[in-house]
Amino acid sequence: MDSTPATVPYLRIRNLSKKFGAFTALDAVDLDVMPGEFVSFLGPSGCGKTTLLRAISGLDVQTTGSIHQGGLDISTLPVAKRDFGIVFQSYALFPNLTIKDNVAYGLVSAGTPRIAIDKRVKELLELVGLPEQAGKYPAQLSGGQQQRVALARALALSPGLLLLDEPLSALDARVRARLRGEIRDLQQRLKLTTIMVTHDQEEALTMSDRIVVMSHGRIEQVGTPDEIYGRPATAFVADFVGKMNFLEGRLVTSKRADVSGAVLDFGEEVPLAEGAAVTVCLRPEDVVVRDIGEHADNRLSVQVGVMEFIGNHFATTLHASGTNLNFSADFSINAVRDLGISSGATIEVALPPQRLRVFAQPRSAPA
Amino acid sequence: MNLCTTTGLRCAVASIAAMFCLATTARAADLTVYTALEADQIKPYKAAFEKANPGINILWVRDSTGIITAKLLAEKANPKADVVMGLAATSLMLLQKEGMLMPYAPVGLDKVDAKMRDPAATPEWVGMDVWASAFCVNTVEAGKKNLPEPASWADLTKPVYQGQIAMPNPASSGTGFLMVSAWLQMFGWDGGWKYMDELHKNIAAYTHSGSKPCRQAAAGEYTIGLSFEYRANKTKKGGAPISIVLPKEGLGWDMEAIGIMKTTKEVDAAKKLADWAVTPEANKLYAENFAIVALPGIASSLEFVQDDVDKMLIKNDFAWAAENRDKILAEWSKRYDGKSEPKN
Amino acid sequence: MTTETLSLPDRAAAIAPLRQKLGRDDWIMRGAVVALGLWLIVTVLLPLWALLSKSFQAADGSFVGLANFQAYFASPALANSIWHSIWVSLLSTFICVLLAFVYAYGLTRTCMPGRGLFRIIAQIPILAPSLLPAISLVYLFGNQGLVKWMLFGASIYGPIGIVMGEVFWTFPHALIIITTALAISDARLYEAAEALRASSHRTFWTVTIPGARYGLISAVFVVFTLVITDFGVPKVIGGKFNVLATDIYKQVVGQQNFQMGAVVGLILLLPAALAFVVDQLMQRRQLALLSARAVPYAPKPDATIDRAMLAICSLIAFAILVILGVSFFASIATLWPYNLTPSLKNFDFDMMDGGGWRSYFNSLVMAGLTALFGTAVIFTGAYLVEKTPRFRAIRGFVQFLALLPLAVPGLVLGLGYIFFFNNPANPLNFIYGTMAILVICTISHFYSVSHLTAVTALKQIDQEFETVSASLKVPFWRTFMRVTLPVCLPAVLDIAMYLFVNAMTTVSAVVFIYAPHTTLAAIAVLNMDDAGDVAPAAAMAMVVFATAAVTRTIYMLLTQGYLARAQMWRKR
Repeated sequence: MDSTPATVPYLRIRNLSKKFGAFTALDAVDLDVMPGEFVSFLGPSGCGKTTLLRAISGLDVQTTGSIHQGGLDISTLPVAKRDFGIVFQSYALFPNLTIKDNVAYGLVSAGTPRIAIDKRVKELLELVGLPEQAGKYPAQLSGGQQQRVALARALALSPGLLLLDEPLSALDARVRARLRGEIRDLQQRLKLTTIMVTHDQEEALTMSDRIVVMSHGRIEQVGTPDEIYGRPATAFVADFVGKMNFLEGRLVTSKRADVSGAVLDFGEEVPLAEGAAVTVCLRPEDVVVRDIGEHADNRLSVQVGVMEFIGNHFATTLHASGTNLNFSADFSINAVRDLGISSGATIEVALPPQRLRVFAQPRSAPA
Repeated sequence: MNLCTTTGLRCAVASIAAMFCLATTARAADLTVYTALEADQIKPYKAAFEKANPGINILWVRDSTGIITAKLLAEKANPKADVVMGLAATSLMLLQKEGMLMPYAPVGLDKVDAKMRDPAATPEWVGMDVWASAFCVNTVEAGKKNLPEPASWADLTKPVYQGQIAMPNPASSGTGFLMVSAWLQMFGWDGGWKYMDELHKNIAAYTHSGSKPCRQAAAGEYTIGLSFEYRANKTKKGGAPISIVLPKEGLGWDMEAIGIMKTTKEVDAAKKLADWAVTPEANKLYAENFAIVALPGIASSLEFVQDDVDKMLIKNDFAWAAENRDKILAEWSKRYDGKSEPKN
Repeated sequence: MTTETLSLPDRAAAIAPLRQKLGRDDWIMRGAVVALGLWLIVTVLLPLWALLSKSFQAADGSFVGLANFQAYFASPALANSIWHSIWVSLLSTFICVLLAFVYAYGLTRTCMPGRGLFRIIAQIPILAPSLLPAISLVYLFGNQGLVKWMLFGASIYGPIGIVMGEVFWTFPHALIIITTALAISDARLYEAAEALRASSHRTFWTVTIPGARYGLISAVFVVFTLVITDFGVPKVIGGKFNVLATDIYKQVVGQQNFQMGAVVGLILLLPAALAFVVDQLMQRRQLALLSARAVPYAPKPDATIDRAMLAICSLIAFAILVILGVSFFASIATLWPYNLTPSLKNFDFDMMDGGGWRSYFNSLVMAGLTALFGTAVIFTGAYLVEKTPRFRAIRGFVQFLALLPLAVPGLVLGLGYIFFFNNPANPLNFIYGTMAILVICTISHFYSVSHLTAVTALKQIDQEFETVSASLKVPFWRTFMRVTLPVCLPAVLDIAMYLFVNAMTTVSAVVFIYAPHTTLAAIAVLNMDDAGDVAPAAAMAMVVFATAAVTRTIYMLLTQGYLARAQMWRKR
């Protein structure tokens, strides 16, 4: 399967729908996953990401649509006939078997000779960094260690596809951050096509080659972490990934809108009629406060409201003088210190036009 | 669970197979015999018969007369019994009327007392022995309560015995039925029921079994138990402080008899049991328990029962009793059922 | 797991939904679920159906509609039994739950000494047939009773005896439920009550009782069902006081009136089924209470309360020991009450009714087979019902069948077995009168509780084991044997123990279907008592008790020793 040329997708999902009674969990989903790619399914609970994973694994077959893996139509194959390894949030390690027996579990059934099994288990435990733990029982390991054993077990049969179902959700923040890197690293070394379901955007942004943002059973956007964060295709994506100001306004021209009394220019033309209601999206960290030229675009004089110290930055609320425009902005500690920004002060800021995203109203209101 | 070390599936198959193995026990020469004989009597009978007839194995189904009779009637469509042995003649006559018995003249029938068999030339049932009513009176309790020893049926209705008497329920117990049948024959239909109305006032409990009143009297639970002479004799022999009274008006009695079920598949074995039942050997065994047996001349006497049981038996019209059994029991239940034990 | 419901046909989507191809595991598991379903249909549903249809038939099998029911209600003695059953059951339930609550309170909420011993003593009644307390009560309060004066002239034969016997026999059942309910109460509520300076009296009524209310309600229904469907106690000590359970027996065994027996059986089924439904609802709510992250309550010593509870619990424990002890002494006395020289003559069962010592060995075999096959069938069955992918309608139906026996009194099930298996037209007729039918009937009788135990254990293990196994291409049965079964071993042994003890002591279902060569010990107790051999009946009851007690003790030692070693992996 690894011989498949990189231009041909390893996993090809077409028009996939899943209905539970009257409820549509997946609505005509199309998706291609390239060989060796790390793809995350991101979205709030109930968005269909788990349903999509369960369709790919065969745990819950889709109502309509097709799935091809490595050129083979697996749409209706039972779980055992598919080719994947899976890691769950709960680890699902067999508590009464040693670490070694857990990892060797699939190998024994496959009829692998004992010596080969021992070699493979050793290799896998080294791969996940637990070479010394083979004789212990799962309950004797920490959560992070258990999840690495689960990963080793999933990799034992060298599957063509690795499925990760919220693999880090049960771990505490520090372990989670470390394992993120380790899993990504492992995936890169093995060049293993991997799909991860997560509701944690940080996880998705740091680990993935591409992210599939889902909502209400539909794909909202597929893109690299950079694209998803920087150029959200829909208001939903804009809202779900990172923090965002949603500013309601009306188009004045195709590149300019009146937002609560402030006139803002955009970098791109908006294909809507003049006077159309729009939502202008602005990330708080995109608000420029240093080195604003006299004629900078979208220059505003604002009053500083509440200032919240977050740790590595300040979150503030700003009110544009002479308008009804309120929005939040993140300022670095440096900027606050250097410019003497404080609550009640009036400062100059700029909203760079190329950083503004404009969507037609009504936007689909994300929760 | 350790037995199931193979795969789950193989284990399940083995389990099911084993279940069915249990179901098919060999029953080549098993003879199912329904009986109302006492549990302590049937053991020697079985041993003696099986010794004389190797290869035949008796499986007893034992319960009270009324229950065995009801069971036989209920199973009429699909009878389980091969032979009925040691059941009251009145009950066997009911089965005869229903056409459930097979006419057969056992070898040696000619020696059997003519009164103690179905009068037909080829009888459907043959008597074994006679059992008759007797009182068991607990002397310790009677002394404590200052109760005179009753000598007759009539004595039992005296108010002094109120709540002191246990008697078997005639619907379930053959011993109970022969008493009721005797009263109705001695005192007449109306007189009999009038007597029972009076007696009922003194009865503390109607028991399921004919032996239980005597055993309860032996334990002092009730002072007087209306029972039968075999149980009375045996209980006294066991050391119970009782005296045995044969009521002077006359004793109710019935015959224990044997008959072959028409539907039996073990005809030969069944006939062998019927043959054995009229042998002197069998009658000698009966005589250890009862004073009067089917073969004349083998009669004995019981250790603690006076000798003249034979003379004290009432003139008993079995045909009448069998004919009216249902009617008598229905009337009895209507009048007195409240005080009987749950099973009757 | 996503929340999935049965998919209704969607009219909008004209395209038929895709169906997954079934793998080998799917075929085997589905086949096994269907087989289990058929097994339960044959061993539970069809016998009940046979009972139901019999109640609408005349003796010759013709349909007579409600004529049998009319006849039943026309007979004042029979109809009276309904009322008797209800009030005796209510009274027994009230007394039993009250005593069990006090006892459970002592065990869980005080620091009185000897709680471990009190716990063990309270389990005694479960190990004996219900006939045992009734026999003991006769020895205690009968006309020759040791302490007859305590009844002030009232007779033990009747409602007084029934209530006393039933309270003894059902006490451990109520105690287990109430102890559990009290044990899960949240300590934080008590701390809050203390902080608010509530009086201990007020705390009791506003915290303790509401916290245990579902347990109490559940106990009420469980005890009520046990009492109204038990016939051992009223059979021995009921005297002329008829109740529904003895009526069935009387109609069927005494008069061989199967149709009327079926009618009474259906009437008895009603309160039992109702209690079952209510109990299920209550347990669901109790579980909801459990899921909260409660802090377990740890009682603090309080001399007054501890001493008072010790006195009360000692009294109850003493009563239990006395009832057990009286049967023991009666069984070894030569001729109670006139000759108390110890003797073993009452153990010469071969000269008594009931089948002799053979009955005892039959019971051992029956209980052993029931424990072995019952545990195998029930645990495997629970696994299949829980773990078979999709296949929802059939699994739901099988689950329903598995819970059905909980609502069916033993007498009713046994009666259904006569009707169903003794029908010559039934191809399974050949098992009638064998040991196999006793084993099958007993497994069915005690199926539900064992099934629920297994399901609970299965729900507690990780739900993804099967998915992981399938993705590793390991067949399900290998995971079942290698992982599921070992992990659930404590529950499996619990089920085996439960089945063994109940098979040793049960009378109600099997009393209708034993055959001459398959007589059982507990039934021998009944028959010996019936024939007036009360002391031997007590002796046999003691033998049954001793067997159950010894088995239980061995089991405890085994689980503490062997399991501790075999289950090393549970330790951290």
